[in-house]
Formats: sequence, C-alpha cells, structure tokens
Amino acid sequence: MKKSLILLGSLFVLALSSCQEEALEPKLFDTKAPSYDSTLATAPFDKYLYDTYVKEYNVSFLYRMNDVGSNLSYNLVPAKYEKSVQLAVLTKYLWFDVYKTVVAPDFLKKYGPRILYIVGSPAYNPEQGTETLGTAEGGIKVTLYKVNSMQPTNIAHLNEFFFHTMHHEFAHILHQTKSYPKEYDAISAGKYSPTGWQNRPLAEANGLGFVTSYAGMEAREDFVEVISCYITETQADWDAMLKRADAGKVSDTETGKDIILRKFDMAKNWLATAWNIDIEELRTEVQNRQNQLRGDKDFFIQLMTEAGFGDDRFVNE
Amino acid sequence: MKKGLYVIALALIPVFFSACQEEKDPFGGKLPSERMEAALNKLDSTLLSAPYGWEMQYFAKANTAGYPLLLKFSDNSQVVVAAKNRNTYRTYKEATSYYDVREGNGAMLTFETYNEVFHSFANPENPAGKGQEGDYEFYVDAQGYSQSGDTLILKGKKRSASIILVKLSEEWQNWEDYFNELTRVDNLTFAGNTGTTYALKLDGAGPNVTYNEFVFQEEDNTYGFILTPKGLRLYNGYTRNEKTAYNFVLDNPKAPNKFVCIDPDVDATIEPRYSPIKVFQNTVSSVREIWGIDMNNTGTSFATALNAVKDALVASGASLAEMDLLYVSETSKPALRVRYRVAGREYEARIFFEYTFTPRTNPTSVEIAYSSVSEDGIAFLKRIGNGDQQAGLAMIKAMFEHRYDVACSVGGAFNPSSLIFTSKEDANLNFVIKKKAF
Repeated sequence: MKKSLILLGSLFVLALSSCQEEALEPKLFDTKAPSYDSTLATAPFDKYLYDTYVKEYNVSFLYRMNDVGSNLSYNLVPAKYEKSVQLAVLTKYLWFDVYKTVVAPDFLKKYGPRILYIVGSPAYNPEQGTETLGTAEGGIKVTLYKVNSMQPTNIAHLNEFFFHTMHHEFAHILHQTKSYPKEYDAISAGKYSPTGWQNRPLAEANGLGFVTSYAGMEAREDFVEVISCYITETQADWDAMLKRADAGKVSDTETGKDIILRKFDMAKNWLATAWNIDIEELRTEVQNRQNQLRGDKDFFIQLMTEAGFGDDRFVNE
Repeated sequence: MKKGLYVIALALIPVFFSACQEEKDPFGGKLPSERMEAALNKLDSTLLSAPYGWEMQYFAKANTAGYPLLLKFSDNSQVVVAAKNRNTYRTYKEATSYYDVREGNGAMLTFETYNEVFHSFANPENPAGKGQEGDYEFYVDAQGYSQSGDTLILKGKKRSASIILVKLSEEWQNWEDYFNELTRVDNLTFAGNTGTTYALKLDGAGPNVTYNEFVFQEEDNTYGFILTPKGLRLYNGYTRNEKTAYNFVLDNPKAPNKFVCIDPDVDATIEPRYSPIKVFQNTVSSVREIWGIDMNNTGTSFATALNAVKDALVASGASLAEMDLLYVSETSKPALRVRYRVAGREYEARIFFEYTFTPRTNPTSVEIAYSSVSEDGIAFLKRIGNGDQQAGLAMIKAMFEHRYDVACSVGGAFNPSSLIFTSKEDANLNFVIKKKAF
C-alpha cells in the first residue's frame, strides 16, 4: 500500500487564534493535580506520562483507545500497552528532548501539539489503496498509527512511521504560527498534484524538485517535508535523494537537485529568522540520538530502564 | 474505572440542567448525571462480580460465526481474555490488556489497549484494510441485565451485534477445561464437516442447511451460531409456526446423534441429513473427499495385515507413508492410494476397488472388492510381494476385501468426518478413516 500523510491543518488557524492571546503558556490540561489514577495497573506508566508530558510540556499522551477520538471511517485497534510505553520513551528521546536541548526547554510547551494520540493498527484507506501514517488536527492533536508493529531500534522504520510524521506535523504548527515566505509557493508552482501525487515514483518526484512523492501534493506539504526529511534522514540518504533529483531537468538551468536546495535554503533561513532555530544544530542532535539507538538493543534497554520500564515485557515486546 | 474525564463533565451538568429540575421527572428526580454515574457503577460492579470470569459469546457482526471468549475483569482495569479459535491457531491462548467503563451514549465497556485475543476480530490487517470488523466498544442492551445477575447482554457500538455474557460457574475455574470441552463438542459434531448438510427441524419440518465454520447456510438464509459446552446457540434463532428455537444441547453428551432445542415449548432439532456411510458413498463417484486411513487406530486383525505390508516394504528398502481412500477422476474409479518412500523419494500407487453398499439407499454396510490396478500399483504390489504381483495383491486383499459395517468413529452418528469400518466376519478387523481437507 502506498502511504500518505493526511494533514488536517485547516482548523488550526481557528484553534490557535484563541491560544495566541494566552501569552506564552497555553495550557489545556491541569498540571496542578495528578491526573492519573494510582489504583490502576497502569499507574506507573500513567505517572510517567504525567511527569514527562503533562507536567513538563502540558501534553496529553493518549494510549488508551477511545473510538470517539478516532476517525470513525477507519477500522482501527488500540495500541498495545507495552508498545505504548516504548513509543512514549522514544518520543521523549527523539523529539521532545531534541527541542529542549537545541532550542529551549519550554519551546514544545509553547508550540507543540497538546495531544499525542496513538493507535495500534494501520489506518487503511482501502478505496485509494493508501495508508494514513499520521494526522494533525488543528495543530492540537497528532495521531500516530501502526504502533503495534513498531521496531524500537530500527531508525529507518521509526522515521518512516513515527518521527518523520512528528517532525512533519510540528513543522506545520510552526509555519501556521509564523508564515513561511510566499516565494516558496512559486518555486514548484504548476508541478503540484494534489490528487495524483501518490502515482509519482520517488525518483520522478525527486527529479521534479520534491524531496518525497508526498511533497508534490501542495506547497505547504512540500515545505514541511523538506524540513522533516533533512532533520531525520542520514547524510547518505539525503545525498542519495539529491543525486536522484539531479537526474531530473526542471528547466534549462535547473535540475531537481537545484530546486530542492533552493527550497532547503529558504526553509533553513526561515527557521533561523522566524524561530531562531539552527536546522543544522537540530539535525545534528537528532542524528546523534538516532545513531546511538540504531540497532543497539542495549542502548534501548538503557533508555527504557532509565524511564522505569526495564522489565522484559517492555523491552522485549 | 477511570473517573477523571467524566467527573469534569458531570460537574458542569447541574448548571445546565438546573432549569429542568422543576418539571416532573420520570426518572425519580435523578439528574442525568446521577443516572449516568449509576449506570457506570452498575456496569462496572456487574463485570467485577464474576469470581470465575465470564463466558462471552462473541459475534463480530450480527448473525455470523460466533466465537466463545472467556474474560476476567479486575478493578485495577486489567482484563484477561482467553480463546481457542482460528485466530489463535486453534490452541488455547490468554492475553492481558486494560479495559474501562466510560460514558458514551450510556455506560460503555471499552477494551482500550490492544489484546491479542480480543482484538483479533477487529484488527484491520487481516484481510488488509478491513479485517473481520468486530467491535471492542459495547453498550449495555436495553434488556441487558438479567434478574439473577448471571447474564449480561451487550451491543457492539459500531456493528451492533448482540454479545451475551454468562457468568462462569465454578466448574470452569480452569479455563482450559472450558475450551477443551468446546473442542470435544466440536469434534463430536462439526469438525471436518464443512459442506455437510444438516436438517433443521421445528415441529417436524424445516430447511436443509449446509455447514461452514459456525454458520448454517440455506439458499437465502444464514444461521450464524456459537458452540457452547453443552450444544449451540443460533444467533437469530430459527422461526416456524410462530415459535423460535435458539438454544440447543446434544441429545447425548458423549455419543450425540442430534442437537435438541431446550427453549420452553419449542420442539426443534438439528441432525445430520445423511447416515454416516452415505457421506463416504460420495467418494465412490466423485472427487469430493479424500479419506485418510488412521494407521495408528486399527483393530488387531487389521493391524496384522497392515504390518505385513509395512514389513515387506521395509525389507525392500522402502517405507509406508500413508494410505487414502479416494476417487480417481482420470480413471473414473474409486481407489486405495498408497504413498511410500524409497531413498527419500515418494511414490504413489493406486489399486482400484469396487464398493457395494447395502441397502442402496441410506446404506449401513459396504462390501469392498478388488477391481484393477494402475501401472504404479503393479510396481507397488510386486515390491511388497517380493517380485510376485499376486502375492502383493493378496496382502492388500487381506486388509480390505471384506464386508463391513460402517459407523461414526467419534461418539454417536452426528459427525461423519471420521468413520470406523468393522468387518462383519471379524470384529478385530477394523480401521478408521478421516476426511482430509483438500
């Protein structure tokens, strides 16, 4: 099945307009009183989520399925408890701690999503033959699917199904807060295919100046795909993509690679000027963390143990 | 029960409903919030009130195949679910996950973290995109609570299938015993009988239905059902003469011939449409079945004849793999097919038989006689006869060329997928054949 990212960003502006007036500390959840039930068998994990996500970032990490909170047109199943614990620990390590270290401790508290909602199964779109990897609703809630088949030390897999999506969705939140340059939309104008992007093979999309097939959907998806790919991909993967792009002639003077590099420069400058974020520094931090985790079960066990979940049932699931 | 979310909602409700309080309240003066809380507490305490757990009669969708599950709820939100079905590869399996009772359009039971046993009916991955579309969120049916408190009827939130929960008795405190009993009932009745026809009768008449994994199919009607330790329950029942038959038990728990309805004032049965040997009779004239001879389950006289063949094969550097009774379409004849191995290679031999059934309709006995042999069969007969085809043939005739009574080998007459042939001349000359999937 081809994979798609379905991003529901249109509601975001409405949702955020009220948040913007709340100065710099929007709070959706009460962080004064513990919001977990200590009588439940899941209390240790619920406390971890409360301490790590609610108290520190005012984010609710929802691992218990509530179908009302899901897209009812999908056939879904809940996330497995042990997998939920793994993803919560890895999300802190590969996402929240990155921004905390590189940007500012309260950056994600101010601008991050308020709800992370995880689902065990894929979200199939049988009629389109696609599979939704993640959704962002109103910049408030990010939903991630396929948690039950997560491979915790397989970085390519983690990026494909989870962290690429998280960085992608977060980049949306950032540009919806402070617009990216209008000129970006003009770079590939006329080459976007909102309904046919999934039929473009990757090499063809690269040759047209898109980092992924999905980036060819529309300009704002293109913009966040550039950021997300650059942050999560290894240099070798990024270079390989540029090489494929270089084979495509977009105009008399530019190849796909030239187009992608123009887009990248624009995104890089925008992050620096609008957000004071150095994308190189951000990337280095992400890559260092990914390199530590890649294929290293012992390191994964160490991360889980530090979080309080070193038992076999959590690390060997 | 997690209370955090709905307590916030409940706290706001009195503000909105204060105006309503002065009107006459058909609910005994209770606020909607109070009624909801009472409903949540009632469902939660009912679920927790089964010391040995619950038998859940699970249907992914209404009137489809039913699958028994056993569940035990704990007040720390843990639920253990056990099953033995095709999703668990027909072995007993338990899985632990977490549940909640929460507010929806009424009190709702939700299995909110993944349970390998329970959610296998909802997982969209098999087949991709849909799965079996079973529910894992349930409301209590309008008539859901029984007076005794031993039964609870739920309704799936999305697919609306009725799911009955019955409190397990002490007899089933070992859950594996429960599933072993279900397997025993299945082996006595439907195991191996896909495509077999049964007569569903109420007041002496009714449709002939074809069995396929816990569903009876008539031309235009489907009757989904679920096995129970004593019999079965039809999801929608069968209605005739303004009476409906739902619940059936085996007429004899060890050697059943039919299912008998136990609903009050309903005279209904489900029984095989044919005598056991009638099912085998098809083999004589069509490729519908292959019957494997159970070489470890024979009478002593048959075993002596069989061992002579085995020993002769070993003496010639070969070994016997299997023997089947089947119909060979190329020659339009029923045959004994022997598979044997020589130096790691497998060979096949076909020796054709003639069957004479007595009486011709609804037979009870059969005479087997040698008819002819294929080229590969000649090689086999020479091999076991030490070069002498007739000597080899005599060994095969000693095994099969007899007059037999035929009956179901498992229990009563219900399950014709396993038959025992017993020689009329020598009760120890008997062998069992089992229907093979192909």
